[in-house]
Amino acid sequence: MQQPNKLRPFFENLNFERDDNTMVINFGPQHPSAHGQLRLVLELQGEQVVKAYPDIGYLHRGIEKMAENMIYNEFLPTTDRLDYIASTSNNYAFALAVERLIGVEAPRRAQVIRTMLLELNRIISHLFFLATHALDVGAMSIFLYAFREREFAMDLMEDYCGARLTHSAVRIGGVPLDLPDGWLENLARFLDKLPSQIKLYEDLLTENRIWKMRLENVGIVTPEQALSWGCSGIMLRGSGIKYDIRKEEPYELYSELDFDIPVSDRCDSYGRYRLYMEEMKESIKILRQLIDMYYTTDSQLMAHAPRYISAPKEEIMTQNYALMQHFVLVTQGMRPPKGTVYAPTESPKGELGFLIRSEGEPYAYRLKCRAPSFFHTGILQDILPGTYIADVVTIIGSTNIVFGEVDR
Amino acid sequence: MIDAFISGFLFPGVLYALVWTVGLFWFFRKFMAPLHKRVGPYYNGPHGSYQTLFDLSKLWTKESITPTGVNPYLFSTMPLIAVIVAMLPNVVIPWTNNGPLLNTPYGLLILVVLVGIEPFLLFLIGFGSDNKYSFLGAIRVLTQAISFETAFFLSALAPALLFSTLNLSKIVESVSFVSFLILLPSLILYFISLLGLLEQPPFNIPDAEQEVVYGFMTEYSGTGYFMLQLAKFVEFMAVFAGAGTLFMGAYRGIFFDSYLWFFIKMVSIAVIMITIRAATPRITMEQMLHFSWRYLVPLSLLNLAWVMFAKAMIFTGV
Repeated sequence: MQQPNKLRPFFENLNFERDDNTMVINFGPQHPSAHGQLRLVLELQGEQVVKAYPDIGYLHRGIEKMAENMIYNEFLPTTDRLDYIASTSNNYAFALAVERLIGVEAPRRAQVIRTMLLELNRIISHLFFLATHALDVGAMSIFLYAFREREFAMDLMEDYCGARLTHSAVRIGGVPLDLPDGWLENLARFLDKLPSQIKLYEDLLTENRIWKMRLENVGIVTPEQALSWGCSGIMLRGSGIKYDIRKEEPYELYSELDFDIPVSDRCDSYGRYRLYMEEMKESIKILRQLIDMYYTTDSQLMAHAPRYISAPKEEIMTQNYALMQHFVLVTQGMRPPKGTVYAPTESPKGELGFLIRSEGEPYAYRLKCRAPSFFHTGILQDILPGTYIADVVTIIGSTNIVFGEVDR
Repeated sequence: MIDAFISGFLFPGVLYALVWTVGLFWFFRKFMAPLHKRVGPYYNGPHGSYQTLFDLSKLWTKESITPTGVNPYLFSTMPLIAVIVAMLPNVVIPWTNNGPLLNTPYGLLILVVLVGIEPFLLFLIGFGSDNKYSFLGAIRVLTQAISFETAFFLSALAPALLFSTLNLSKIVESVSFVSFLILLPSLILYFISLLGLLEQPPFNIPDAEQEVVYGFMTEYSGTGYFMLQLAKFVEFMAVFAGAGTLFMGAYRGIFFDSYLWFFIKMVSIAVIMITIRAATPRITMEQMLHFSWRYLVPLSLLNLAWVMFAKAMIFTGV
């Protein structure tokens, strides 16, 4: 590296033309397997990586700053654009933080629906991971097979909220809609079909010698590394640390549900791949339990908290006080009490939490999103040196980073 | 005169190569589709068969961009040379029972040399593109070619040893069912090294899209890209035809001898190749080297020993 010029940003100081047998290449931001907008500057000796510098910021939209100029309900659709593979988990993480701030709990039916949507999103996200990871490693067929099942899951989301990618299916204090007729039957049919598809993927990959050759002992994250880089989710559990926020700090209905947290102590990409497959099976188990739970709930969908949450539509149309409240809440926005709150949730990628500082205004004083992919991007500079270019792709795929979430 | 015209431009010549390219490209797509649970080309022509024609004519007429900083002559002539070199083996292959265009005692030698020279042209293409990804791809082409050509040459040598001739039409005439069985290990080895030589999965390392963008072809667009695709598919033809000629008796069939049999043999090799393509991930560079030098090359040498043994003990008739 040449002597950095302190007046210019670090990445402008990189010397791309070298004389010492090393080659510096830009892996991204337009590279086919850069998972969105990752720019990875790799210093190569032959095909071996000597140094890796992940560079982020190519998808930066200032979402955290936007939150300071929007009322809470306005901001909720913006959270869709964080982890756009599983948008409901972002909506939910934000809604949960605001609910903790205003001290409201969603009614039981809303909780059931939310947990269903969260787990459905987990399946969608894991299928997407499997598809892109397999494509990165060169298995084209799995890509198309997994996308096919993901389409069916997205059809279910579309039936519920009308959107396929940016759902906005959760509101602060509940959910806007009840499940449409026949939705649960469709879900049950999907859940009956999915295990056979997962078995197909596993038959094609798990014992496939080439797949094992490509994934075993590649991208090793030791437990110490995982902890010191702030990894969460499968990156942490793939290193043998059993930590899942659904079990550690249960939110929604997770404390009542019966499910396991798969852990692998292989520490490599193959172990993480196995965990993704196991988690999908656990999600199926959770969704089956939730279908039974739904029938025992009454029909209330939004929490009753007139200071913060609009009354149901019927009351707004018939009662003067509800109409006034609604008018104020829509034009000025809710005013949560002063305070700071952080609510962690287990998104498909890892620990996703929103920290909200409220000064009693309708706008958040500061909103910080703790996105798991950001930390998983950082670890790349630690685990990439010493690997080959082909493994770089495997490792990026196996960390499952999504750039909407990293850059915010 | 008219014969030379027909053979140069029509049957084993340019037009044949073009029709083969368009047909095989369509077949690749259409055969791959059900394996991927897709439909494949659908709208243009019967079963979408005009689709590749339109695609190739689109590429043919598009603007070719020459990046600054490259030698423009090298950059734009290399694809043309690659196509010509890929087409040349056509003259020594006995397509029909009239024998090859050029009936020479050194047919096999010409075939393997022309097939073996192609990767070096691709290396030059990548090297001359002045792009780091092209350069990485070019180095990968070279490494892979060196690793697989040894096995390729050794397995192509087996029939020549068995029949004591390098003349391809003589080899075709002497192929029998017994010789096919003796040469079956050679055919399998030939097929594996064919996958490596033609950069097909699981050995599609040089143009691994997820790793080195498009390898040596990264900078090419329009006509240059068309030429490279053409060269690739014509080389498919040469190598498939080599397998058909050396091991399966080319045009010789069950009830009648015709080009049709040759075609069926080549397509069946393509079918196996595409099925492997749909089923496997890609291996890495050092795994490929490991596989090639530790398993494939020693096995090819053992196979030669087996062929010599079989020639001495079983196949004394020739």
